[in-house]
Amino acid sequence: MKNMHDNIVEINNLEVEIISPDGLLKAVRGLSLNVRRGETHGIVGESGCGKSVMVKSIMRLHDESKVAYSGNIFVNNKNIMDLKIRNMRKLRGKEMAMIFQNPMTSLSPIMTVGEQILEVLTAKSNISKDEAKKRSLEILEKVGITPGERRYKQYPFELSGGLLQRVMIAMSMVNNPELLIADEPTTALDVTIQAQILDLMKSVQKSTGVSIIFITHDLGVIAEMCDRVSIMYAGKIVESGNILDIFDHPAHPYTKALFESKPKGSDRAERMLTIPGAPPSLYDDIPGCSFALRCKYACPKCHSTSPKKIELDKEHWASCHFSREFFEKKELLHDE
Amino acid sequence: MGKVLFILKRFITMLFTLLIVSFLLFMVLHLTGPDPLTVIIGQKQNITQEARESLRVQYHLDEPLFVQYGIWFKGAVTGNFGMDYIQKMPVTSLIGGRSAVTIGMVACSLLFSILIAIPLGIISALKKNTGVDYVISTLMLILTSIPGFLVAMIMLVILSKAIPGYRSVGMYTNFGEYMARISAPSLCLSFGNIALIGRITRNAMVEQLNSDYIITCEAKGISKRRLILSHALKNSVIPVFTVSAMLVGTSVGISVLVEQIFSLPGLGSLLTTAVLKDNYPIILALTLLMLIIFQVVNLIADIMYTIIDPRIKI
Repeated sequence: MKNMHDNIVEINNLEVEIISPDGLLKAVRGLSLNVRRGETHGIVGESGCGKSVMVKSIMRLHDESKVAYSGNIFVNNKNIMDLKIRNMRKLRGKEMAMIFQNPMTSLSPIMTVGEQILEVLTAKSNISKDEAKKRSLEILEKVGITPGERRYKQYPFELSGGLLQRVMIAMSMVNNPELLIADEPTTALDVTIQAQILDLMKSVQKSTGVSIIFITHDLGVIAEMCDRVSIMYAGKIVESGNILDIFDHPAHPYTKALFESKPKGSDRAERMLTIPGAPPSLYDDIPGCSFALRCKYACPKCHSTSPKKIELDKEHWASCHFSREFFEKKELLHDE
Repeated sequence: MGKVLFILKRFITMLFTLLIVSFLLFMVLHLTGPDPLTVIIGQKQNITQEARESLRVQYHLDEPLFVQYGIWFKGAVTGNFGMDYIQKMPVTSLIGGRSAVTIGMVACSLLFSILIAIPLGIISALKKNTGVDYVISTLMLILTSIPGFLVAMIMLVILSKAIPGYRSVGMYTNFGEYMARISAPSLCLSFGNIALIGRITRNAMVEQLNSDYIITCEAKGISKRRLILSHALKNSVIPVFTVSAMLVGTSVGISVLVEQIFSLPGLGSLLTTAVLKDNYPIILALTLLMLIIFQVVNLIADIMYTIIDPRIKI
């Protein structure tokens, strides 16, 4: 916050409301987030907590006849909420790019993968078709799809999920964007392929210095990939900080609960811990802390007042009334 | 290689179908209808017995039915469909002179319906569940609900009132006149199809616009135009093609009525008079011609699928 130029993405108090057949879905509820230039920032949260809605808002990919935004999103110090959608299109694919969960369905089935990469190049700059094709082949080889010449002419149905995700990465990186949003890029892939894709993303980041927002619900992937991580719950970031801070000193009960529900070792006798209950419905207003109903530390105050952001350390904050106590690993007074 | 084999296979199937249909039709006509000789003799029923006999021989009616079919078949293979019973002219020349009208009309109507229906379908899909969509859908519903012949009659009235020199009878002498004569009936013919093709386009587009790869396209930042035309539309055309190909068949059928109303000398009127007057050779030849058109169009559609969608293998 102090130095704006350090941040590639800065989201202030974002609210996203979606008109759906079931009513007004308040998917993002006053969310603030900073992503620093060159870092990999993980976003963790349960399904339906608004992670995807939030990142799609960064690219303004929602159907805007059905979505109301409030708050600000700065990308590269431009408030993209002020941009006309026409200008937004110019930024997409050039300054920011996105890859998705299911590479099998994320590419047009009737166009060769090469052409789909080429299309991004020709849409964004005035290069000749030959030059664009040359660059498309180069990037295909760079993401490990060889021989590029042959793969270029193949259709998505002829490639495996892992290769398609590589194509997606090639396509998103072909114009050297400064921001790459990865919305659960490995969830649909099997474990060995997952590892390869993660390695590829790491090496791409190393060579280009791109900032990555990495959404996942796999804490192991976060530990492997990210510099910083933000924990999301019911449309808000509840805790954010360096990866080590969060893993060593979780200061929000939800973060703590997430770590406790991670499978440990191979001990089958011990039951995996779960978080009781279900996240609150995002159609309703939530008085107080959104996690209070499932929180084992909740006190009357939690149900009535929503907690403020508490700065715990440099770059580490959490929004829980008792964050300071958790952070310092003190016993809570009312803890049974 | 696969494609050539596929086309060859389809041709063989087509010939086989033609053989069976022609045989059944030949038999049904000759076994259930009136005696061809009475049709051939027509008004002059009091001709001499000799003349009667010579006609019988000339039209091979003295042979057993199976042999008659054999003779017809032999001729048909070489492109000779025999003489018709009433005008005593070669069937091929009768059809040849009139097919330009019908084929032109069906082709034009298909072109009109595609040119009108696809943009309407796209707009409808893009403006899904808005006023524009409802207006287009309602218009389409009205167009399908009105029978083609009624549209033709209304159009004829309007045209002859609005354009003083509009000719709705007689022949054409050059291409300009030909187009002027067939454009209005083609439009009539296309009305019912517009609704169907438009509806299919809309639904296919809605489905495609909701697919994952469209979000990817949005995230890639390509123009909306490119997104709609080279991605969503290109992925939607297969059902549109299927329906259009099938509509060729029904259009040929409906053209019978429209030709009558616009008094166009097409195959439709030839067929109706032939049916009314039991002119068997024409009925046979026209039925087979329509069958061939229908099958060829479907074959073309099938080949187009494989060009559009690489996942379809033949």
